[in-house]
Amino acid sequence: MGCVALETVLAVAACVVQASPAPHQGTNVELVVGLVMFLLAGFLLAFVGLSVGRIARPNMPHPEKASTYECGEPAIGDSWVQFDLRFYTVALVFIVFDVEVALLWPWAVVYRDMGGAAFWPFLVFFLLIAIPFLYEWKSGYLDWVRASTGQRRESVLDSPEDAEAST
Amino acid sequence: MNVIAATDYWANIPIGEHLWLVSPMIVLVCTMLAVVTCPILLGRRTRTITAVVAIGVTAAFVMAIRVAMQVADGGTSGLSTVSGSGMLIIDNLSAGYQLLMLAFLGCVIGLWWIGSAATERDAPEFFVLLLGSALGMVLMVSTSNLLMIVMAIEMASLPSYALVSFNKRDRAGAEGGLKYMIFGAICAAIMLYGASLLYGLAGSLNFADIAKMVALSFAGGGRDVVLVSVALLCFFAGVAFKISAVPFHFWCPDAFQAAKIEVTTWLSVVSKAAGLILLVRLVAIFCGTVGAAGLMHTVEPIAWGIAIVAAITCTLGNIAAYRQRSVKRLLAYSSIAHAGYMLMATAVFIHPDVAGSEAGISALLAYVFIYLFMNLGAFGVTAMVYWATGTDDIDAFTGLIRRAPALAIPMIICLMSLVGLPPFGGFLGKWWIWIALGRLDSTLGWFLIMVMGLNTVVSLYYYLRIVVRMTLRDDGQAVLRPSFGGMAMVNVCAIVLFPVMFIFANGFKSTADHFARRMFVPTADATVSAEPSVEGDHSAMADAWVDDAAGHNDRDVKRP
Amino acid sequence: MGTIGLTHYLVVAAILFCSGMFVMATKRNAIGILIGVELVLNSTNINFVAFDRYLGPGQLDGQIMALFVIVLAAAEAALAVAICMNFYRNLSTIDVDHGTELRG
Repeated sequence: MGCVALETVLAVAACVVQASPAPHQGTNVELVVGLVMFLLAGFLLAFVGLSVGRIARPNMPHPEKASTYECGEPAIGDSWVQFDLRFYTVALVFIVFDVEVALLWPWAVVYRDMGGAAFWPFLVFFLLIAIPFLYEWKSGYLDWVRASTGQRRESVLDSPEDAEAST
Repeated sequence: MNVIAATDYWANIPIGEHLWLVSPMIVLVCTMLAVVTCPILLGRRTRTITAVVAIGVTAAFVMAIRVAMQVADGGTSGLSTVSGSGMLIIDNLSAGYQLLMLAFLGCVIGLWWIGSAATERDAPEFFVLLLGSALGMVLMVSTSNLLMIVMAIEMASLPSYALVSFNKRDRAGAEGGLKYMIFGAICAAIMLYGASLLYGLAGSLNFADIAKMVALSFAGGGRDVVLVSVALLCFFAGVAFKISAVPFHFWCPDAFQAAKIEVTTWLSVVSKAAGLILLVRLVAIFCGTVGAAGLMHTVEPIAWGIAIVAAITCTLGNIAAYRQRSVKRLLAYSSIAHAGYMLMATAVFIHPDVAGSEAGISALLAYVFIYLFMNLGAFGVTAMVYWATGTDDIDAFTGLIRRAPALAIPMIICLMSLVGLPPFGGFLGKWWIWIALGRLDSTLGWFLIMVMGLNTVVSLYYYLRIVVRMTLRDDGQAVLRPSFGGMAMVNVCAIVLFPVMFIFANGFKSTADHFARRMFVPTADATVSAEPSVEGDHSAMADAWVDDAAGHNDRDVKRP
Repeated sequence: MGTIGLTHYLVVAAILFCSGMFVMATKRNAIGILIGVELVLNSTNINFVAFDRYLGPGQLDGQIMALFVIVLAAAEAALAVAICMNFYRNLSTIDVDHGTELRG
């Protein structure tokens, strides 16, 4: 298309304007002028192209044309689908361990200097996370395919980890 | 990165004696772990889990008695890994609150056992959330460090949101929980922003250093006053949210109405008291620091700010309570009004005369103590009526004096206490706040006395409405048969409020005075001089950034 | 232009804070409000870390605080989404304006 050619020309022109007056001499003003010109040219180009097209093109609307894929499979439903709640549980477990790692970071930094003194507090901290995790596991909140008897709780409204992670 | 190793952090790690001081909290954490371990090993039976919790809370209570005895004769025994940071303070105030809180935790669990245990299928979750918020509240009252304050407030709040919307099939619960959570999240975010500004302005997370900075700024020798005020306002949004002061009160009626009644009791009694005691501690530190520097007169705008918020809070709470039919909601508004009264006592602190401040603190502590019993009694009776009739509408109370005299009489005593009529406990609380305000002998004091008097008259009407329903009307509803444990609990509350409190009023007040005086023991790092030149070296370090902000340079140049 | 100083960080944080407040004030969608909260929390983190850097060496309070704010944000988000889901299950919307059951 002509548009592309015009754009290239303008871009080259802008580069030339920017580069031509003694590039090593100094600088900020030329750079800014060049960038401004480049921006202006870009906006102008888009504006001219679109408005010329709007004036020149034939106008024949058709619902088929407005669909997402004009040619190919018709779209089914909305792209805003509801995700399965199980993903939420997985995300929750991920967040707990994610944050645990964030809290372990400073611990890891000083571990070499601290030695054994740093080990036991960590163990306590880890237990605070591990035991509620075992609870979730054992209670079946982490099962991907849940037995129908275990269906009575779909959500994990309350994760014990939350409370403990903030200790 | 050997920064931490360079400080002798590990030399100060709390061991032995220090761990004993926090043993009630450790027991609470262990109980939480036991509650989630129990279903793994023994199954999810509600009875087993409740037994585990009962053992845990009792153990924590015993430990709390031990701690209270240990700190009773010492002054403020600071417990912190880095000395002077105020990370964890176990003193009379926090030990006393802890003791009361554990007792009330027992009462709430008792209420739950009477009313909800039979139908509850998620007992482990309920208890983990309840104990988690309890732990957060204990931490809230035993710290003066911004980091710990923020974490403790959140730790008390997050489980509360879940507790309000605990029942998944309940529309009202879902709505109340969502409103509470969104409001809480916004307030927490604003509070954190304020905390970050305060940290930058004072160069420290310890509230004593921040108080010093604020006082200097108000005296005109420090930071920009506007910036400091904005930071303080933002920070105290979080505290105001906890005690539901206007304009951060919107969550309160909705959350209280939507929650199960034992959760409402928990939130209105213990959670609010924790917020107030945190406020007491912060203001006491503030007054101690500022008073020692002789800069009290410069912070009078803060006192007026608190006074106006207090006046609006109690007026609004009382007016809104007028048209409520749900007794739960009525009591929620009444608790907003009471938060207003208690804020009035806070306004007394900030006064040039430190003796006035002491009177304010002791009046506030006494009021909080009485408030705990008044509200526990009123909510307890409401719970009994709710479980017996299935509604908390005011009509369910009609003729209660005939249907269940063992509930009606304590309810009358609690309601009259809430009004503040003379022979009852609530009157003493109000009277002491009145005296503290009167002793100020200033415009602020008289203004607050007037507001409080008017509000008492206004509130008389809606409390009396319930009393009249209970005693003078009767539409022949069936006789109630509440459980013995519940009746015993509300009657104990009533007995504390009426004869006991009145007989031991003097001893009670002197205990409160004793507590209040302890709050003012100046610690080494809380003393401050009016001379800017005596500022510590890290304060000078904190100035470094101001040079960067051109707008503040002029103020800084003045300092030597 | 000079070097990047504390003020620049504070301005970025303030802009973030204001955007967060704006989002919180205008969104009717519960998740949208929570995103606003997260913005404010992040502005807080920028403040803490920047102050910490400029308050001098050897002081780690600000960084520790930022770490805990991250933890806080995670815990809050996890719980908040659960409560939103609960709301959705009961009312089939997460528009906070639809919560009209409790009034008075």
